[in-house]
Amino acid sequence: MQFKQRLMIVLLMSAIVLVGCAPTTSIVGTQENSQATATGNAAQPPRNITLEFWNFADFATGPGGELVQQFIDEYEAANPGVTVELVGKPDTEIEAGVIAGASAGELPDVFANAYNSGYAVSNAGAVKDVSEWWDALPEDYRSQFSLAAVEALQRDGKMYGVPYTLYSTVLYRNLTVLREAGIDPDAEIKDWDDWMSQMQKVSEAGYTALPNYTLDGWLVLHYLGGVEGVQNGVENGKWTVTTEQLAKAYAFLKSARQYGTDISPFDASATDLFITDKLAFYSMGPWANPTFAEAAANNALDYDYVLIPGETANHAGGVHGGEFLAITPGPHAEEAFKFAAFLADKTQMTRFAAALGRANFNAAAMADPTVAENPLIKLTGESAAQGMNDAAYFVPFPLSIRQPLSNYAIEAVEGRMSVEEAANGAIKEINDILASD
Amino acid sequence: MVTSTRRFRRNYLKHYLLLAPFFIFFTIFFLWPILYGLGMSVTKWDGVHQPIFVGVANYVNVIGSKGFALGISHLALFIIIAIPLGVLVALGLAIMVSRFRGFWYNFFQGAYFLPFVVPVFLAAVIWRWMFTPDYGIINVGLRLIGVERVRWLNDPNFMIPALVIVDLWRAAGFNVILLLAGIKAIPKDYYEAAHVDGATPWQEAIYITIPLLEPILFLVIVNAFISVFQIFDTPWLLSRSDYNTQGGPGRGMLFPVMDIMGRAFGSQKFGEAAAYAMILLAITLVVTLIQFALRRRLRSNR
Repeated sequence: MQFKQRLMIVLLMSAIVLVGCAPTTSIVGTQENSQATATGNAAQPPRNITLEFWNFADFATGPGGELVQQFIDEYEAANPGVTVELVGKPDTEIEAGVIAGASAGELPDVFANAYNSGYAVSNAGAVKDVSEWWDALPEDYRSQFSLAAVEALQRDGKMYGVPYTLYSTVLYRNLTVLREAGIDPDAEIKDWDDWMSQMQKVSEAGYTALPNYTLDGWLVLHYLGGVEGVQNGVENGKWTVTTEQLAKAYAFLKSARQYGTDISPFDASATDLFITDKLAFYSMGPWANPTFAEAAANNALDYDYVLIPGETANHAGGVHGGEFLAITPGPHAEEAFKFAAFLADKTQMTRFAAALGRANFNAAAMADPTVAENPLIKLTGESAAQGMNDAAYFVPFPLSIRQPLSNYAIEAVEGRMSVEEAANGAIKEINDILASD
Repeated sequence: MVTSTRRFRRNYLKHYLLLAPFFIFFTIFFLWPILYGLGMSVTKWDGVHQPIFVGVANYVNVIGSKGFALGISHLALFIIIAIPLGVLVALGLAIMVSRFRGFWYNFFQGAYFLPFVVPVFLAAVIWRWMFTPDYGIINVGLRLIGVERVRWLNDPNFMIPALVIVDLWRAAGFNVILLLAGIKAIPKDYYEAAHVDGATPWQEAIYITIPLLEPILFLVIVNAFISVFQIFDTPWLLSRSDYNTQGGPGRGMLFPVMDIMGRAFGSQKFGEAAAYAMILLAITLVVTLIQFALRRRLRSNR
């Protein structure tokens, strides 16, 4: 055989082998495409891959878990030989588990993670750069996501995952309590002053206006987000929130305290008070809604949700954040990426949003008529456009800064410090934490 | 030489084999982690990148930190309140229960032990509800006797007392079982003789039960100290701690092990966390040695 012929045969065989091994990421976009993947895989030798998927607890149990499991079943059916094991964990446990697992070499294949802990998990070496696979996806697929969510995942030419879900806090209002207090629920709450006068009326009518939002730093952010011009970030190693801005939030919480209760919004007793028509206002993320919706259906709870009022009428309060699907370095990383891309695709995210009333970063899914008219998702979108982000993303920004944020809020509200002193103290301590990190 | 090896095999090998599992497990699960932690405590390590030797800097950072001062002061306060109270309550209950026979003996024994087997997370949820400022059953009860609302889990001044209540509820049952076993082992003759001499139940408890229970009481006290130094799950759940924030409002329920968790998994400062753990180990060791020395002195004086 001539050398040229031999070379041709070698090249041809190499090409066949390469085509067989080529990543199939270009066809993970839709459910239909996943079926195409299955057809393609039929000719391949049988695989036996098990992917471990750590998801947030509320998307791994109950209705959220059932839906995600349905997506998994569909993915497995379309990809013979691939099994996905769904493991539900609270968000902080995912972060800690991944960081501990990175040093021990024990990681899930794919995990849902908050953007606010993106730096910690990527710095721990637990997140694989998926830019090569992401870039290989069709433009149609990539452009379906919110650009900001994609850009937040890109650092120094790397891509740290696939955009997934988002949250933004809203204000739940018990309309029965408002009516009893002589407040017209249809009248919009313009700003903090307007809201405070409503709280006073609620209190005078013998009801409780608001739980205690000083007991946790993340809760303080609901109201700090209402201060005009506030930015939750870090610049030159310092927190970008000014003493004046934080003092305004503390002052609001101090005024609200006289009409509220000491119960933490995280406690079941707070939601129980709301459901039993004793509490007028409750700000929280969209995950609180299923409980209230169930109470509305079973116990005739009359409630709605609106934007959390801000300092002025121009700017709503609230805090928002997002989650992404991270792929860990490992032998099944490419398959894990395919699964993540499938999960975050419009088909799944539309069903996810429509069924659970939870927003996500898939803009195409959010624009789908079955989702776009969902009032809570619509409000989540409006709230996320205002308010403040829950952290600076993919930069050193320890969430432990929330501890002094809460501690000094309590000092101010209890009257042991003036709001200015408390704001000063909090910012100094937060800057110390940022410096030590 | 051969003879001595044979003699060793015949006479001693079985004893060494008997002890071997303990020494193997002790080395793997106790000694090695301590040595590894000691090594880690002198490095700056985020769990991923290469550790950097920093000498005693971690120890200096930990001891100089606000969290350390808070954690240790809470621990000291908890020891002062919870251990004497816990031992006294358990002893009182054990003496009372020991006076019952048959059904009631078994009933009270089971009833007091029940909280110990209730999962901590479940207990914490129930207690958080009961401690609720305005509507919790404890404050409702207190209001009936004229005590204004107590912010058990929101006011740092009340957070340790709240923890003592929960700890007492949980731990008393376990100690009651230990003490009841001790009381049962006391010969009946002493009580019969005391009864003949006209001793009251109080005198029986003071002059017979407590002195003869000394070995069990010592065990209960040492165990209580060691448990308190390691206290973690109950305050963690009651204060709704996570890896980023520990101890609840004003860090009023911060304890050393919680701080260690936060430093390791929240801030990825594994070196500092290890240094803190070494300090805690040293304190626990010193306190336990003092207890043994005191006991020896008390015995020799007797």
